[in-house]
Amino acid sequence: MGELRLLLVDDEVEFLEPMKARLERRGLACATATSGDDALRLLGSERFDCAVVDVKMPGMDGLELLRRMRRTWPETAVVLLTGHASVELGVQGMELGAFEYLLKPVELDDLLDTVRRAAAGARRD
Amino acid sequence: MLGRRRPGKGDTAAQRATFRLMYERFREVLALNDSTLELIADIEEKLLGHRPFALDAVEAGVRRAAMDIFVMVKDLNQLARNRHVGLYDALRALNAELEALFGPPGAVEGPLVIPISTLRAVDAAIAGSKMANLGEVAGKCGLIAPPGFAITTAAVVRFLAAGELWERCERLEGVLELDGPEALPAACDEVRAAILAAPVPEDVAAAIRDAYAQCFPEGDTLVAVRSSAVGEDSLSSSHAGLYDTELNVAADRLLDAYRSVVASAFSATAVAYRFEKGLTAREALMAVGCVGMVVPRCAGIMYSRPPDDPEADAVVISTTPGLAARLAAGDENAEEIVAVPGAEVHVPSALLGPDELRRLVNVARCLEEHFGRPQDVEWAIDFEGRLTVLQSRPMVAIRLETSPAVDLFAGRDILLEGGFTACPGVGSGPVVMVDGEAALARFPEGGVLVAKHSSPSFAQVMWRCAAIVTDVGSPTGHMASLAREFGVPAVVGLDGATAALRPGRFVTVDATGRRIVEGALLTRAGGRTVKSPLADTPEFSPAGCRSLHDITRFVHEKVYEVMFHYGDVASEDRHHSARLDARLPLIIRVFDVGGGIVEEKSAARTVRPEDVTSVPMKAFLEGMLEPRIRWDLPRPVSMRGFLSVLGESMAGPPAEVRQVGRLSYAILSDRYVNFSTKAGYHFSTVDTYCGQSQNKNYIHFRFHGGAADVDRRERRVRCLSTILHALDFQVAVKGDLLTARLDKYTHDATRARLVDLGRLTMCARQLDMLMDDDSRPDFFAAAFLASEWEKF
Repeated sequence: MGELRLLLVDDEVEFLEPMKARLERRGLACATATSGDDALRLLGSERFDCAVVDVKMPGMDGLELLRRMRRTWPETAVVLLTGHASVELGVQGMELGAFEYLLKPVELDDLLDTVRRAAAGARRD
Repeated sequence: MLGRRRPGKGDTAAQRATFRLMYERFREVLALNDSTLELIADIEEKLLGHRPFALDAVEAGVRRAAMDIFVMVKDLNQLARNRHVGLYDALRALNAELEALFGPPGAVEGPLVIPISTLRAVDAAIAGSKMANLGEVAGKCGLIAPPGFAITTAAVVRFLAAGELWERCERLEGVLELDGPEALPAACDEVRAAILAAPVPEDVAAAIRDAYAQCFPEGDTLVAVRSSAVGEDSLSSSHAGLYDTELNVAADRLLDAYRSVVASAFSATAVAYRFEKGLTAREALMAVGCVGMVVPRCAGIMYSRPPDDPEADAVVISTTPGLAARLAAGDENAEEIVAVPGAEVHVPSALLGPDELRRLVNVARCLEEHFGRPQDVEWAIDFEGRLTVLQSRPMVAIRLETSPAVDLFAGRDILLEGGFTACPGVGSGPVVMVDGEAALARFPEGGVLVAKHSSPSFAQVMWRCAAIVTDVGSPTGHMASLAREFGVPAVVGLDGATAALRPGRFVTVDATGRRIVEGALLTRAGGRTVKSPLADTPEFSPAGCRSLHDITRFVHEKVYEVMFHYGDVASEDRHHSARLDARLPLIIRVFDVGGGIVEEKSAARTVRPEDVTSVPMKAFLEGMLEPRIRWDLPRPVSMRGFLSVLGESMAGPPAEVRQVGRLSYAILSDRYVNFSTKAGYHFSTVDTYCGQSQNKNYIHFRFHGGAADVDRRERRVRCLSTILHALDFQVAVKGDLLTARLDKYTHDATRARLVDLGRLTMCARQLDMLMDDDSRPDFFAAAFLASEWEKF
């Protein structure tokens, strides 16, 4: 398999940029978006293996983005990442077809592991 | 972690990764299952225990459990390719219930004030049942409702939302639980002072002023400002007399009186009472009534039926000159009349004429008919002879109990006799004199409360009282209602009780027979049980999961199924799942995740004990196969034990018993075993790692469930604890869940303990049935430790 193409979506730039830098050091190609609309624009022009999406964002939230992605780009796996431990959001996310639901803070290795599996699963399907 | 896996056909790196992920998710489910069950057991202990608990303290635990269970459900679905998505719905529904229970009190919708004349019973949620009923009876039974209005719960939420008052109020329950009853009065005083000093929001104040102006156009009418909390006056929790009423309030003092009544919801007595009842402050939102003062010639309380005989056609009326408030508080001996409808009262009343008595009786019957159950009515008659009903609420009837057998009291000196039965029953304990709040704070468990006057403040300690005796007091008073609610035997109006009973002396109070004898003849069966919302017996399907506990059990059950099912379908040429062909009364399926079974049998449908290469499984099996444990012979099972087991299980067998029968599962590798069995009526699990590096070695053993009664389960747990302690395990017991762990022992020591555990697993199969009395746990523990396994 080629280089993994990852989309990071989070309204917190302070989280986004360091995470992108760390993932790229591990050999992933990362694009970032700071809102759901941003993410949809990028998805319209590039192909991604996996998107790591923050659940709580102003405007279009992570669940809505997930819903639209499953409709339009089902080949891109979605990993939800949230700082807010909520059963309701977790259940909704999994029902909408998220590959995984992770809680912040997340270990880089765990995230990498999940992203690789998500991408592998998405490619096989 | 997988140990040595042999390369084979189709055994790709991807498949190995899949196995590793499965194994990790499986382990995660198990770990969460353990921690969640412990959490739930801990919460249940609080809910079921004799000690009251602060709901807030439970909240964090329940939320954590819910989130952990979500992860379990997610893991299971990821393992089982979303075969159990129904669990998400069940979890979502439960979570919504929890949110409703724990979520912030929403802004209550509705008007801030409502005139009594337009109130109906349906308004109880916003005006409190007391005021709602008042509006309901006006015009219905030919009664005059006093003029006035209700200040709604929407208003109190607005009021308390300011200045974090609400948060401070809610914290009081925590104070009670964490710091004890001694700390409560001071904390309550502080909160009440803050409420009394807080400004009433301008819109609420304006609404109150306008309502007053509308109801009392003269402008100088005095009003009574009284509590009308939501849930107050309900049958199961009357809150009788716990909240304040301010009388003769002039227009310019309305807001002060309002604050004062709202603050009374946070007196030490009220907080302790709600705590006892399992109610939170938000379940007792305080609506307040402003009612025009009646200047009564006489007033009183009546029960539309005798509380101790609700079938009888009689009305019990207590009356006193002037206001009835003092009567309700129990400060006076009232005039008491039992009036039979249609019949003349034989003993004439000094306060009420025959005509007034007839009217009261008619009103009592009318209210009873209107509300469909016996009523507890507060009334007043003014100097013009107008009858007003001040409140009408469901009557707390006295549960019928038979007096104890006479011989219990035969030959005993009767210390005192007389008074009125406020709540029947018998209680024994040391005499504790209560002459103020301080004495209540120190009140010991199981004491007999003796006081000059009856007081609703006794509600604070009723859950610890063996009995209550007062010199003065009326069986129609507030305290009497509370005693009946709490089921505390109580005699009131027993003249000379405080003089005759010496503190510390053991007495037995026969409240039914209204007498007190020397000595402790019996002890009160302690505690009330609360049905735990976490442990209903479910249908064993996702939709049938009605509690977090159910979901946990379901996931735990299914995760094994998935592991074994997956073994069958993962690869056609290898069968990871096999049946263990051993001489045991269990069907054991084994699933090898690497190096647990000899290579030649890796694809076999059945394996024999000698094919097992997993070190811990070999040891455990050796113990289970101990030839001196004769499970195959009929044993002298006590009939009592059998009936006890049978009875409980007929009442409602645990889901795991109905569902699974006797399947046991072992997931093993060369150094790891997870063995779970449902032998008999219980669940037991052994999770263990046994290798050469001592620090990694562990045995975790858990045992729970069981079909027998509580006594037998407790004895069983005691027996197992004793044995496991002696085997160096660290044992923890929560309810009927026993967990034992042994960490970082050497390879050989761990192995030896697994042999012991195998034997114990077999010996404990029918342990409930052997636990006939309190000597049995020690007897069987000793037998086991002396290697006398044939005794089981």
